[in-house]
Amino acid sequence: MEPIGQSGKPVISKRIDHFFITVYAIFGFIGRFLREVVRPPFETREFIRQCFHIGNKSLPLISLTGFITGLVFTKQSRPSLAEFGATSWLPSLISIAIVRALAPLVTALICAGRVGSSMGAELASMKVTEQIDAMEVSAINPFKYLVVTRVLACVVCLPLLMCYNGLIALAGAFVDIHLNEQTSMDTFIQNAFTNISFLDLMSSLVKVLIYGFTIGIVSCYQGFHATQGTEGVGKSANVSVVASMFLIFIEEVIIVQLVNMIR
Amino acid sequence: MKTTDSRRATTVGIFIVLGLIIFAAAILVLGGQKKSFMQSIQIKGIFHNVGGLSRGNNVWYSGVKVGTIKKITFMDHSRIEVLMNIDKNARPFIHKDVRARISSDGLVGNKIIALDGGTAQAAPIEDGDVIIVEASVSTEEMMDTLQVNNKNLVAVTGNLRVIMENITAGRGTLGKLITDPSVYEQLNRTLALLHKTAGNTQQLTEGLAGYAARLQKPGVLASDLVSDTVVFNKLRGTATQLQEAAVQANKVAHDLQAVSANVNSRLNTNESPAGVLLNDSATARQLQQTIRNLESSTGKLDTNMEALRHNFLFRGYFRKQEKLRRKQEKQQKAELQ
Repeated sequence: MEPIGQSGKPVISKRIDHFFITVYAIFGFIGRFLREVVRPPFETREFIRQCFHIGNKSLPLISLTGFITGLVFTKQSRPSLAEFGATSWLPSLISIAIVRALAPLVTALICAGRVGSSMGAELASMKVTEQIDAMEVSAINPFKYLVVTRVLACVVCLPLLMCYNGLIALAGAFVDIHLNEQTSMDTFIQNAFTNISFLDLMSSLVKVLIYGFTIGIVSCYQGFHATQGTEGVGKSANVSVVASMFLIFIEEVIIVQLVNMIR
Repeated sequence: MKTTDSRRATTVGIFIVLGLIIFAAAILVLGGQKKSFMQSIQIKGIFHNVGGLSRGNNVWYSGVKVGTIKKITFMDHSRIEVLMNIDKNARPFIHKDVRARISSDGLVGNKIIALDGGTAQAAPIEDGDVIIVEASVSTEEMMDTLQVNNKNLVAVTGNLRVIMENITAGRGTLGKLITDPSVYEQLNRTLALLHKTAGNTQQLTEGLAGYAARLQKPGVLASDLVSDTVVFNKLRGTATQLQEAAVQANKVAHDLQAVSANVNSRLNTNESPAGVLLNDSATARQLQQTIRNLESSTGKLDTNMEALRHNFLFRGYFRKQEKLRRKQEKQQKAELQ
Protein backbone atom coordinates (compact mmCIF):
# COMPACT_ATOMS: atom_id res chain seq x y z
CA MET A 1 0.00 0.00 0.00
CA GLU A 2 1.49 3.33 -1.01
CA PRO A 3 1.39 6.22 1.51
CA ILE A 4 -0.21 8.68 -0.86
CA GLY A 5 -3.39 10.73 -0.37
CA GLN A 6 -6.16 11.31 -2.85
CA SER A 7 -4.27 14.15 -4.51
CA GLY A 8 -1.21 11.92 -5.00
CA LYS A 9 0.76 13.81 -2.29
CA PRO A 10 1.57 12.45 1.20
CA VAL A 11 -0.85 13.55 3.99
CA ILE A 12 1.94 14.51 6.41
CA SER A 13 5.16 13.16 4.96
CA LYS A 14 6.00 10.03 3.13
CA ARG A 15 7.68 8.42 6.14
CA ILE A 16 5.02 9.41 8.69
CA ASP A 17 2.24 8.34 6.39
CA HIS A 18 4.03 4.99 6.00
CA PHE A 19 4.22 4.58 9.78
CA PHE A 20 0.47 5.12 10.21
CA ILE A 21 -0.30 2.79 7.32
CA THR A 22 1.85 0.14 8.99
CA VAL A 23 -0.01 0.67 12.29
CA TYR A 24 -3.29 0.31 10.47
CA ALA A 25 -2.06 -2.84 8.72
CA ILE A 26 -0.83 -4.35 12.00
CA PHE A 27 -4.17 -3.72 13.71
CA GLY A 28 -5.90 -5.18 10.66
CA PHE A 29 -3.59 -8.19 10.99
CA ILE A 30 -4.48 -8.51 14.70
CA GLY A 31 -8.18 -8.21 13.92
CA ARG A 32 -7.88 -10.93 11.31
CA PHE A 33 -6.06 -13.13 13.80
CA LEU A 34 -8.81 -12.63 16.41
CA ARG A 35 -11.42 -13.56 13.81
CA GLU A 36 -9.54 -16.60 12.55
CA VAL A 37 -8.57 -17.95 15.97
CA VAL A 38 -12.14 -18.72 16.98
CA ARG A 39 -13.26 -19.90 13.58
CA PRO A 40 -12.93 -23.62 12.71
CA PRO A 41 -11.23 -25.60 11.36
CA PHE A 42 -8.42 -25.62 13.91
CA GLU A 43 -4.96 -26.57 12.78
CA THR A 44 -4.17 -28.64 15.86
CA ARG A 45 -1.27 -30.59 14.42
CA GLU A 46 0.48 -27.45 13.22
CA PHE A 47 -0.26 -25.82 16.56
CA ILE A 48 1.41 -28.73 18.42
CA ARG A 49 4.34 -28.60 16.03
CA GLN A 50 4.75 -24.89 16.72
CA CYS A 51 4.43 -25.50 20.47
CA PHE A 52 7.19 -28.06 20.17
CA HIS A 53 9.44 -25.64 18.32
CA ILE A 54 8.69 -22.63 20.47
CA GLY A 55 8.31 -24.35 23.85
CA ASN A 56 10.30 -27.57 23.96
CA LYS A 57 13.15 -26.43 21.75
CA SER A 58 13.54 -23.19 23.71
CA LEU A 59 13.53 -24.93 27.10
CA PRO A 60 17.30 -25.69 27.33
CA LEU A 61 18.20 -22.11 26.47
CA ILE A 62 15.56 -20.72 28.81
CA SER A 63 16.71 -23.05 31.62
CA LEU A 64 20.35 -22.12 31.22
CA THR A 65 19.55 -18.42 31.04
CA GLY A 66 17.26 -18.66 34.06
CA PHE A 67 19.84 -20.48 36.17
CA ILE A 68 22.56 -17.99 35.28
CA THR A 69 20.21 -15.05 35.85
CA GLY A 70 19.31 -16.25 39.36
CA LEU A 71 22.88 -17.09 40.26
CA VAL A 72 24.44 -13.91 38.93
CA PHE A 73 21.72 -11.63 40.26
CA THR A 74 22.19 -13.15 43.72
CA LYS A 75 25.94 -12.75 43.53
CA GLN A 76 25.65 -9.14 42.40
CA SER A 77 23.06 -8.25 45.04
CA ARG A 78 24.92 -9.77 47.98
CA PRO A 79 27.62 -7.07 48.51
CA SER A 80 25.01 -4.29 48.74
CA LEU A 81 22.95 -6.17 51.33
CA ALA A 82 26.04 -7.40 53.17
CA GLU A 83 27.06 -3.79 53.76
CA PHE A 84 24.32 -3.43 56.33
CA GLY A 85 24.14 -7.09 57.36
CA ALA A 86 20.95 -7.92 55.51
CA THR A 87 22.02 -10.93 53.46
CA SER A 88 19.07 -12.80 54.98
CA TRP A 89 16.90 -10.62 52.73
CA LEU A 90 18.51 -12.08 49.58
CA PRO A 91 15.80 -14.75 48.99
CA SER A 92 13.10 -12.13 49.30
CA LEU A 93 14.89 -9.65 47.06
CA ILE A 94 15.78 -12.20 44.39
CA SER A 95 12.31 -13.76 44.31
CA ILE A 96 10.67 -10.35 43.90
CA ALA A 97 13.04 -9.50 41.07
CA ILE A 98 12.54 -12.85 39.37
CA VAL A 99 8.77 -13.10 39.71
CA ARG A 100 7.96 -9.47 39.00
CA ALA A 101 10.43 -8.71 36.24
CA LEU A 102 13.26 -11.06 35.35
CA ALA A 103 11.36 -14.25 34.55
CA PRO A 104 8.82 -12.67 32.14
CA LEU A 105 11.30 -10.28 30.60
CA VAL A 106 14.17 -12.73 30.12
CA THR A 107 11.80 -15.35 28.72
CA ALA A 108 10.27 -12.86 26.34
CA LEU A 109 13.64 -11.52 25.17
CA ILE A 110 15.08 -14.97 24.62
CA CYS A 111 11.97 -15.99 22.68
CA ALA A 112 11.98 -12.77 20.72
CA GLY A 113 15.53 -13.53 19.65
CA ARG A 114 15.16 -17.21 19.01
CA VAL A 115 11.52 -17.66 17.99
CA GLY A 116 10.83 -14.22 16.48
CA SER A 117 13.75 -14.39 14.06
CA SER A 118 12.90 -17.96 13.15
CA MET A 119 9.23 -17.20 12.49
CA GLY A 120 9.98 -13.98 10.65
CA ALA A 121 12.54 -15.66 8.40
CA GLU A 122 10.39 -18.77 7.82
CA LEU A 123 7.27 -16.86 6.81
CA ALA A 124 9.26 -14.33 4.80
CA SER A 125 10.97 -17.04 2.78
CA MET A 126 7.57 -18.67 2.19
CA LYS A 127 6.22 -15.30 1.08
CA VAL A 128 9.04 -14.45 -1.29
CA THR A 129 9.01 -17.95 -2.78
CA GLU A 130 5.23 -17.59 -3.23
CA GLN A 131 4.46 -20.65 -1.13
CA ILE A 132 1.80 -18.68 0.72
CA ASP A 133 0.13 -17.79 -2.57
CA ALA A 134 0.31 -21.47 -3.53
CA MET A 135 -1.45 -22.38 -0.28
CA GLU A 136 -4.24 -19.96 -1.06
CA VAL A 137 -4.57 -21.48 -4.49
CA SER A 138 -4.80 -24.97 -2.98
CA ALA A 139 -7.70 -23.86 -0.72
CA ILE A 140 -5.67 -23.78 2.48
CA ASN A 141 -6.09 -20.70 4.58
CA PRO A 142 -2.44 -19.64 4.97
CA PHE A 143 -3.28 -17.14 7.69
CA LYS A 144 -4.96 -19.79 9.83
CA TYR A 145 -2.32 -22.38 9.11
CA LEU A 146 0.78 -20.19 9.45
CA VAL A 147 -0.11 -17.19 11.56
CA VAL A 148 -2.83 -18.33 13.97
CA THR A 149 -0.96 -21.49 14.99
CA ARG A 150 2.30 -19.62 15.53
CA VAL A 151 0.83 -16.73 17.45
CA LEU A 152 -1.28 -19.08 19.56
CA ALA A 153 1.75 -21.29 20.24
CA CYS A 154 3.66 -18.21 21.40
CA VAL A 155 0.82 -17.16 23.69
CA VAL A 156 0.57 -20.64 25.21
CA CYS A 157 4.25 -21.49 25.44
CA LEU A 158 5.68 -18.25 26.77
CA PRO A 159 3.85 -18.39 30.15
CA LEU A 160 4.97 -21.99 30.54
CA LEU A 161 8.53 -21.05 29.67
CA MET A 162 8.29 -18.23 32.17
CA CYS A 163 7.31 -20.73 34.90
CA TYR A 164 10.32 -22.88 34.03
CA ASN A 165 12.56 -19.87 33.86
CA GLY A 166 11.34 -18.54 37.23
CA LEU A 167 11.73 -21.92 38.91
CA ILE A 168 15.23 -22.48 37.56
CA ALA A 169 16.26 -18.90 38.34
CA LEU A 170 15.10 -19.43 41.95
CA ALA A 171 17.05 -22.70 41.97
CA GLY A 172 20.15 -20.82 40.80
CA ALA A 173 19.62 -18.21 43.50
CA PHE A 174 19.14 -20.95 46.09
CA VAL A 175 22.39 -22.67 45.07
CA ASP A 176 24.34 -19.46 45.61
CA ILE A 177 22.55 -18.52 48.84
CA HIS A 178 22.89 -22.04 50.22
CA LEU A 179 26.61 -22.13 49.46
CA ASN A 180 27.27 -18.71 50.98
CA GLU A 181 24.73 -18.33 53.78
CA GLN A 182 23.99 -22.02 54.43
CA THR A 183 20.27 -21.23 54.15
CA SER A 184 18.06 -24.32 54.08
CA MET A 185 15.55 -25.00 51.30
CA ASP A 186 12.58 -24.49 53.65
CA THR A 187 13.84 -21.13 54.87
CA PHE A 188 14.62 -20.06 51.33
CA ILE A 189 11.12 -20.88 50.09
CA GLN A 190 9.57 -19.28 53.18
CA ASN A 191 11.54 -16.07 52.71
CA ALA A 192 11.26 -16.06 48.92
CA PHE A 193 7.48 -16.03 48.92
CA THR A 194 7.02 -13.72 51.92
CA ASN A 195 6.89 -10.54 49.88
CA ILE A 196 5.28 -11.91 46.74
CA SER A 197 1.58 -11.46 46.25
CA PHE A 198 -0.95 -12.99 43.89
CA LEU A 199 -0.96 -9.69 42.08
CA ASP A 200 2.75 -10.12 41.28
CA LEU A 201 2.18 -13.61 39.97
CA MET A 202 -0.88 -12.68 37.92
CA SER A 203 0.64 -9.51 36.53
CA SER A 204 3.67 -11.54 35.38
CA LEU A 205 1.36 -14.05 33.77
CA VAL A 206 -0.57 -11.35 31.95
CA LYS A 207 2.67 -9.66 30.95
CA VAL A 208 4.15 -12.78 29.44
CA LEU A 209 0.89 -13.51 27.60
CA ILE A 210 1.08 -10.07 26.05
CA TYR A 211 4.77 -10.56 25.24
CA GLY A 212 3.99 -13.89 23.58
CA PHE A 213 1.24 -12.34 21.55
CA THR A 214 3.49 -9.44 20.58
CA ILE A 215 6.34 -11.72 19.48
CA GLY A 216 3.95 -13.89 17.49
CA ILE A 217 2.08 -11.05 15.82
CA VAL A 218 5.15 -8.93 15.04
CA SER A 219 7.15 -11.85 13.65
CA CYS A 220 4.27 -13.23 11.62
CA TYR A 221 3.38 -9.80 10.32
CA GLN A 222 6.97 -9.15 9.25
CA GLY A 223 7.19 -12.54 7.60
CA PHE A 224 3.75 -12.36 6.04
CA HIS A 225 4.49 -8.97 4.52
CA ALA A 226 8.04 -9.62 3.38
CA THR A 227 9.14 -8.14 0.05
CA GLN A 228 12.34 -7.72 -1.95
CA GLY A 229 13.24 -11.40 -2.32
CA THR A 230 15.96 -13.00 -0.18
CA GLU A 231 17.01 -9.65 1.11
CA GLY A 232 13.52 -9.25 2.52
CA VAL A 233 13.90 -12.55 4.40
CA GLY A 234 16.88 -11.27 6.37
CA LYS A 235 15.20 -7.92 6.89
CA SER A 236 12.04 -9.58 8.18
CA ALA A 237 14.00 -11.73 10.62
CA ASN A 238 15.93 -8.73 11.84
CA VAL A 239 12.93 -6.42 12.15
CA SER A 240 10.95 -9.18 13.87
CA VAL A 241 13.54 -9.41 16.64
CA VAL A 242 14.18 -5.68 17.00
CA ALA A 243 10.51 -4.67 16.89
CA SER A 244 9.49 -7.47 19.26
CA MET A 245 12.14 -6.49 21.81
CA PHE A 246 11.33 -2.83 21.50
CA LEU A 247 7.63 -3.45 21.98
CA ILE A 248 8.33 -5.80 24.91
CA PHE A 249 10.17 -3.03 26.75
CA ILE A 250 7.44 -0.51 25.96
CA GLU A 251 4.79 -2.94 27.21
CA GLU A 252 6.87 -3.67 30.33
CA VAL A 253 6.88 0.01 31.26
CA ILE A 254 3.13 0.39 30.66
CA ILE A 255 2.18 -2.81 32.51
CA VAL A 256 4.39 -1.98 35.51
CA GLN A 257 2.68 1.41 35.74
CA LEU A 258 -0.75 -0.19 35.55
CA VAL A 259 0.12 -2.84 38.16
CA ASN A 260 1.51 -0.20 40.50
CA MET A 261 -1.74 1.71 40.15
CA ILE A 262 -3.67 -1.41 41.20
CA ARG A 263 -1.24 -2.39 43.98
CA MET B 1 5.13 -39.11 10.09
CA LYS B 2 2.34 -40.06 12.43
CA THR B 3 4.82 -41.48 14.98
CA THR B 4 6.81 -38.26 14.87
CA ASP B 5 3.64 -36.23 15.36
CA SER B 6 2.48 -38.28 18.33
CA ARG B 7 5.94 -38.15 19.92
CA ARG B 8 5.97 -34.42 19.40
CA ALA B 9 2.48 -34.13 20.86
CA THR B 10 3.59 -36.15 23.91
CA THR B 11 6.64 -34.00 24.58
CA VAL B 12 4.58 -30.86 24.12
CA GLY B 13 1.99 -32.31 26.51
CA ILE B 14 4.66 -33.08 29.11
CA PHE B 15 6.07 -29.60 28.67
CA ILE B 16 2.64 -28.01 29.17
CA VAL B 17 1.73 -30.21 32.18
CA LEU B 18 5.05 -29.57 33.92
CA GLY B 19 4.70 -25.85 33.30
CA LEU B 20 1.18 -25.88 34.71
CA ILE B 21 2.37 -27.89 37.74
CA ILE B 22 5.08 -25.30 38.43
CA PHE B 23 2.53 -22.52 38.16
CA ALA B 24 0.06 -24.35 40.39
CA ALA B 25 2.80 -25.08 42.94
CA ALA B 26 3.71 -21.40 43.00
CA ILE B 27 0.08 -20.47 43.62
CA LEU B 28 -0.25 -23.08 46.37
CA VAL B 29 2.95 -22.01 48.13
CA LEU B 30 1.93 -18.39 47.85
CA GLY B 31 -1.58 -19.16 49.02
CA GLY B 32 -0.22 -21.16 51.93
CA GLN B 33 2.02 -18.29 52.93
CA LYS B 34 -0.67 -15.68 52.56
CA LYS B 35 -3.15 -17.99 54.28
CA SER B 36 -5.46 -17.43 51.33
CA PHE B 37 -6.93 -20.90 51.54
CA MET B 38 -7.42 -20.94 55.29
CA GLN B 39 -10.79 -20.90 57.01
CA SER B 40 -10.93 -17.61 58.76
CA ILE B 41 -13.00 -15.33 60.95
CA GLN B 42 -13.05 -11.57 60.65
CA ILE B 43 -12.37 -9.15 63.50
CA LYS B 44 -12.07 -5.38 63.52
CA GLY B 45 -9.89 -2.78 65.17
CA ILE B 46 -10.52 0.97 65.19
CA PHE B 47 -7.30 2.98 64.87
CA HIS B 48 -6.58 6.72 64.78
CA ASN B 49 -3.48 6.20 62.65
CA VAL B 50 -2.53 3.02 60.79
CA GLY B 51 0.97 4.26 59.87
CA GLY B 52 1.04 2.97 56.29
CA LEU B 53 -0.65 -0.38 56.94
CA SER B 54 -2.09 -1.81 53.75
CA ARG B 55 -4.36 -4.60 52.59
CA GLY B 56 -2.64 -7.97 52.63
CA ASN B 57 -0.24 -7.09 55.46
CA ASN B 58 0.16 -9.69 58.15
CA VAL B 59 -1.48 -10.01 61.56
CA TRP B 60 0.74 -11.53 64.25
CA TYR B 61 -0.30 -12.90 67.59
CA SER B 62 2.59 -13.27 70.04
CA GLY B 63 4.98 -13.27 67.08
CA VAL B 64 3.09 -15.92 65.07
CA LYS B 65 1.34 -15.04 61.82
CA VAL B 66 -2.35 -15.72 62.34
CA GLY B 67 -3.96 -13.70 59.56
CA THR B 68 -3.92 -10.85 57.09
CA ILE B 69 -5.44 -7.41 56.69
CA LYS B 70 -8.62 -7.69 54.65
CA LYS B 71 -9.79 -4.12 54.38
CA ILE B 72 -8.97 -0.63 55.63
CA THR B 73 -11.77 1.96 55.59
CA PHE B 74 -12.35 5.42 57.06
CA MET B 75 -15.18 5.57 59.61
CA ASP B 76 -14.92 9.33 60.17
CA HIS B 77 -12.21 11.99 60.12
CA SER B 78 -10.23 10.44 62.99
CA ARG B 79 -11.16 6.77 63.03
CA ILE B 80 -10.02 4.05 60.64
CA GLU B 81 -11.56 0.62 60.69
CA VAL B 82 -9.18 -2.24 59.93
CA LEU B 83 -10.77 -5.56 59.06
CA MET B 84 -8.60 -8.60 59.74
CA ASN B 85 -8.88 -12.21 58.58
CA ILE B 86 -7.84 -14.48 61.45
CA ASP B 87 -7.07 -18.17 61.00
CA LYS B 88 -9.80 -20.28 62.59
CA ASN B 89 -7.17 -22.61 64.06
CA ALA B 90 -5.66 -19.70 66.00
CA ARG B 91 -9.05 -18.46 67.28
CA PRO B 92 -9.14 -20.52 70.53
CA PHE B 93 -5.86 -18.93 71.68
CA ILE B 94 -6.82 -15.31 71.00
CA HIS B 95 -9.12 -13.92 73.67
CA LYS B 96 -11.54 -11.03 73.53
CA ASP B 97 -9.33 -8.80 75.74
CA VAL B 98 -6.40 -9.07 73.31
CA ARG B 99 -4.79 -5.74 72.35
CA ALA B 100 -3.87 -4.71 68.82
CA ARG B 101 -1.18 -2.24 67.82
CA ILE B 102 0.52 -1.20 64.60
CA SER B 103 4.03 -2.61 64.42
CA SER B 104 6.52 -3.74 61.78
CA ASP B 105 8.08 -7.13 61.04
CA GLY B 106 11.61 -5.75 61.27
CA LEU B 107 13.48 -2.48 61.65
CA VAL B 108 12.53 -1.42 58.14
CA GLY B 109 10.08 -4.20 57.39
CA ASN B 110 6.42 -4.23 56.37
CA LYS B 111 3.76 -2.85 58.65
CA ILE B 112 1.82 -5.45 60.58
CA ILE B 113 -0.84 -5.59 63.27
CA ALA B 114 0.60 -7.18 66.39
CA LEU B 115 -1.90 -8.77 68.77
CA ASP B 116 -0.65 -9.13 72.35
CA GLY B 117 -1.95 -10.07 75.76
CA GLY B 118 -5.37 -11.42 76.49
CA THR B 119 -6.33 -13.51 79.50
CA ALA B 120 -7.63 -17.06 79.68
CA GLN B 121 -10.63 -15.81 81.69
CA ALA B 122 -11.93 -13.95 78.65
CA ALA B 123 -13.72 -15.91 75.92
CA PRO B 124 -11.99 -16.55 72.56
CA ILE B 125 -12.61 -13.98 69.82
CA GLU B 126 -15.58 -14.43 67.53
CA ASP B 127 -16.47 -13.35 64.03
CA GLY B 128 -17.23 -9.62 63.93
CA ASP B 129 -15.57 -8.77 67.29
CA VAL B 130 -14.06 -5.32 67.70
CA ILE B 131 -10.82 -5.67 69.64
CA ILE B 132 -9.05 -3.15 71.88
CA VAL B 133 -6.47 -0.99 70.17
CA GLU B 134 -3.27 0.34 71.73
CA ALA B 135 -1.51 3.47 70.53
CA SER B 136 1.95 2.62 69.24
CA VAL B 137 5.03 4.75 68.91
CA SER B 138 5.26 5.98 65.35
CA THR B 139 8.45 6.49 63.41
CA GLU B 140 7.88 10.24 63.54
CA GLU B 141 7.72 10.17 67.33
CA MET B 142 10.87 8.09 67.43
CA MET B 143 12.55 10.57 65.13
CA ASP B 144 11.44 13.45 67.40
CA THR B 145 12.98 11.71 70.39
CA LEU B 146 16.14 11.07 68.42
CA GLN B 147 16.18 14.75 67.48
CA VAL B 148 16.11 15.75 71.16
CA ASN B 149 18.88 13.20 71.82
CA ASN B 150 20.87 14.70 68.97
CA LYS B 151 20.57 18.18 70.47
CA ASN B 152 21.71 16.87 73.85
CA LEU B 153 24.59 15.12 72.16
CA VAL B 154 25.62 18.33 70.45
CA ALA B 155 25.58 20.15 73.82
CA VAL B 156 27.59 17.36 75.45
CA THR B 157 30.18 17.31 72.69
CA GLY B 158 30.41 21.13 72.89
CA ASN B 159 31.15 20.93 76.62
CA LEU B 160 33.61 18.15 76.00
CA ARG B 161 35.38 20.29 73.44
CA VAL B 162 35.76 23.14 75.97
CA ILE B 163 37.07 20.73 78.59
CA MET B 164 39.57 19.27 76.14
CA GLU B 165 40.73 22.76 75.16
CA ASN B 166 41.29 23.65 78.83
CA ILE B 167 43.16 20.43 79.41
CA THR B 168 45.32 20.98 76.34
CA ALA B 169 46.05 24.55 77.46
CA GLY B 170 47.01 23.31 80.93
CA ARG B 171 44.12 25.04 82.69
CA GLY B 172 42.38 23.45 85.64
CA THR B 173 43.47 20.58 87.84
CA LEU B 174 43.38 17.99 85.08
CA GLY B 175 45.19 20.28 82.66
CA LYS B 176 47.97 20.96 85.18
CA LEU B 177 48.20 17.30 85.98
CA ILE B 178 48.78 16.54 82.32
CA THR B 179 50.94 19.50 81.29
CA ASP B 180 52.89 20.51 84.48
CA PRO B 181 55.99 18.30 84.96
CA SER B 182 56.35 19.25 88.68
CA VAL B 183 52.85 17.95 89.37
CA TYR B 184 53.78 14.84 87.52
CA GLU B 185 56.93 14.45 89.61
CA GLN B 186 54.97 14.95 92.82
CA LEU B 187 52.42 12.47 91.70
CA ASN B 188 55.16 10.05 90.77
CA ARG B 189 56.78 10.41 94.19
CA THR B 190 53.43 10.01 95.91
CA LEU B 191 52.79 6.93 93.89
CA ALA B 192 56.25 5.57 94.80
CA LEU B 193 55.49 6.21 98.46
CA LEU B 194 52.12 4.64 98.08
CA HIS B 195 53.78 1.69 96.43
CA LYS B 196 56.23 1.37 99.30
CA THR B 197 53.43 1.76 101.86
CA ALA B 198 51.48 -0.87 100.06
CA GLY B 199 54.51 -3.17 100.25
CA ASN B 200 54.87 -2.54 103.96
CA THR B 201 51.19 -2.99 104.52
CA GLN B 202 51.41 -6.25 102.65
CA GLN B 203 54.28 -7.41 104.81
CA LEU B 204 52.42 -6.32 107.95
CA THR B 205 49.33 -8.07 106.81
CA GLU B 206 51.31 -11.20 106.06
CA GLY B 207 52.91 -10.99 109.55
CA LEU B 208 49.53 -10.49 111.15
CA ALA B 209 48.17 -13.35 109.16
CA GLY B 210 51.03 -15.60 110.32
CA TYR B 211 50.59 -14.43 113.91
CA ALA B 212 46.86 -15.02 113.71
CA ALA B 213 47.52 -18.46 112.25
CA ARG B 214 49.87 -19.26 115.12
CA LEU B 215 47.32 -17.97 117.61
CA GLN B 216 44.71 -20.16 116.05
CA LYS B 217 46.94 -23.26 116.17
CA PRO B 218 45.49 -25.80 118.66
CA GLY B 219 47.53 -26.10 121.91
CA VAL B 220 48.56 -22.45 121.88
CA LEU B 221 47.38 -20.53 124.95
CA ALA B 222 45.54 -17.90 122.93
CA SER B 223 43.74 -20.55 120.87
CA ASP B 224 42.92 -22.54 124.02
CA LEU B 225 41.75 -19.36 125.70
CA VAL B 226 39.36 -18.74 122.87
CA SER B 227 38.33 -22.27 122.06
CA ASP B 228 39.16 -24.58 125.05
CA THR B 229 36.53 -24.20 127.80
CA VAL B 230 38.54 -26.37 130.29
CA VAL B 231 41.53 -24.05 130.21
CA PHE B 232 39.31 -21.08 130.59
CA ASN B 233 37.60 -22.61 133.65
CA LYS B 234 41.00 -23.43 135.13
CA LEU B 235 42.13 -19.88 134.63
CA ARG B 236 38.99 -18.60 136.18
CA GLY B 237 39.62 -20.90 139.22
CA THR B 238 43.23 -19.72 139.44
CA ALA B 239 42.11 -16.13 139.35
CA THR B 240 39.64 -16.83 142.14
CA GLN B 241 42.36 -18.50 144.20
CA LEU B 242 44.72 -15.61 143.55
CA GLN B 243 42.05 -13.25 144.69
CA GLU B 244 41.58 -15.26 147.87
CA ALA B 245 45.36 -15.39 148.40
CA ALA B 246 45.51 -11.64 147.94
CA VAL B 247 42.82 -11.22 150.59
CA GLN B 248 44.76 -13.52 152.93
CA ALA B 249 48.01 -11.65 152.24
CA ASN B 250 46.25 -8.42 152.95
CA LYS B 251 45.04 -9.80 156.22
CA VAL B 252 48.58 -11.06 157.11
CA ALA B 253 49.95 -7.65 156.23
CA HIS B 254 47.40 -6.07 158.56
CA ASP B 255 48.42 -8.48 161.34
CA LEU B 256 52.12 -7.79 160.75
CA GLN B 257 51.40 -4.09 160.87
CA ALA B 258 49.67 -4.55 164.24
CA VAL B 259 52.52 -6.73 165.54
CA SER B 260 55.03 -4.23 164.30
CA ALA B 261 53.16 -1.39 166.00
CA ASN B 262 53.03 -3.41 169.20
CA VAL B 263 56.76 -4.27 169.04
CA ASN B 264 57.55 -0.69 168.29
CA SER B 265 55.59 0.56 171.25
CA ARG B 266 57.18 -2.08 173.47
CA LEU B 267 60.66 -1.24 172.22
CA ASN B 268 60.13 2.40 173.11
CA THR B 269 59.40 1.54 176.76
CA ASN B 270 61.55 -0.13 179.53
CA GLU B 271 58.95 -2.73 180.16
CA SER B 272 60.42 -5.33 177.83
CA PRO B 273 63.99 -6.72 177.89
CA ALA B 274 64.61 -5.36 174.39
CA GLY B 275 63.24 -1.95 175.43
CA VAL B 276 65.51 -1.95 178.47
CA LEU B 277 68.46 -2.91 176.24
CA LEU B 278 67.57 -0.16 173.76
CA ASN B 279 66.46 2.66 176.06
CA ASP B 280 68.11 2.19 179.56
CA SER B 281 71.64 3.73 179.69
CA ALA B 282 72.48 2.19 183.10
CA THR B 283 71.78 -1.26 181.77
CA ALA B 284 73.89 -0.47 178.75
CA ARG B 285 76.81 0.53 180.92
CA GLN B 286 76.43 -2.63 182.99
CA LEU B 287 76.31 -4.66 179.80
CA GLN B 288 79.49 -3.00 178.57
CA GLN B 289 81.22 -3.74 181.87
CA THR B 290 80.05 -7.34 181.67
CA ILE B 291 81.43 -7.65 178.14
CA ARG B 292 84.79 -6.24 179.26
CA ASN B 293 84.87 -8.69 182.10
CA LEU B 294 84.11 -11.50 179.67
CA GLU B 295 86.99 -10.42 177.39
CA SER B 296 89.53 -10.40 180.24
CA SER B 297 88.17 -13.75 181.48
CA THR B 298 88.49 -15.21 177.98
CA GLY B 299 92.16 -14.04 177.74
CA LYS B 300 93.01 -15.60 181.05
CA LEU B 301 91.17 -18.83 180.06
CA ASP B 302 93.24 -18.95 176.87
CA THR B 303 96.45 -18.74 178.82
CA ASN B 304 95.21 -21.50 181.14
CA MET B 305 94.38 -23.73 178.17
CA GLU B 306 97.82 -23.19 176.61
CA ALA B 307 99.32 -24.18 179.90
CA LEU B 308 97.19 -27.34 179.85
CA ARG B 309 98.56 -28.34 176.42
CA HIS B 310 102.04 -28.47 177.80
CA ASN B 311 100.90 -30.38 180.88
CA PHE B 312 102.08 -34.01 180.79
CA LEU B 313 98.56 -35.24 181.39
CA PHE B 314 97.25 -33.79 178.17
CA ARG B 315 100.46 -33.61 176.02
CA GLY B 316 99.93 -37.13 174.52
CA TYR B 317 96.50 -36.32 173.25
CA PHE B 318 97.75 -33.25 171.37
CA ARG B 319 100.68 -35.14 169.79
CA LYS B 320 98.19 -37.78 168.47
CA GLN B 321 96.11 -35.10 166.98
CA GLU B 322 99.16 -33.61 165.21
CA LYS B 323 100.16 -36.98 163.71
CA LEU B 324 96.65 -37.65 162.43
CA ARG B 325 96.56 -34.27 160.69
CA ARG B 326 99.90 -34.85 158.91
CA LYS B 327 98.79 -38.27 157.75
CA GLN B 328 95.65 -36.86 156.17
CA GLU B 329 97.68 -34.17 154.33
CA LYS B 330 99.99 -36.83 152.84
CA GLN B 331 97.02 -38.86 151.64
CA GLN B 332 95.52 -35.81 149.92
CA LYS B 333 98.79 -35.04 148.10
CA ALA B 334 99.10 -38.63 146.89
CA GLU B 335 95.57 -38.58 145.54
CA LEU B 336 96.25 -35.35 143.70
CA GLN B 337 99.40 -36.81 142.00
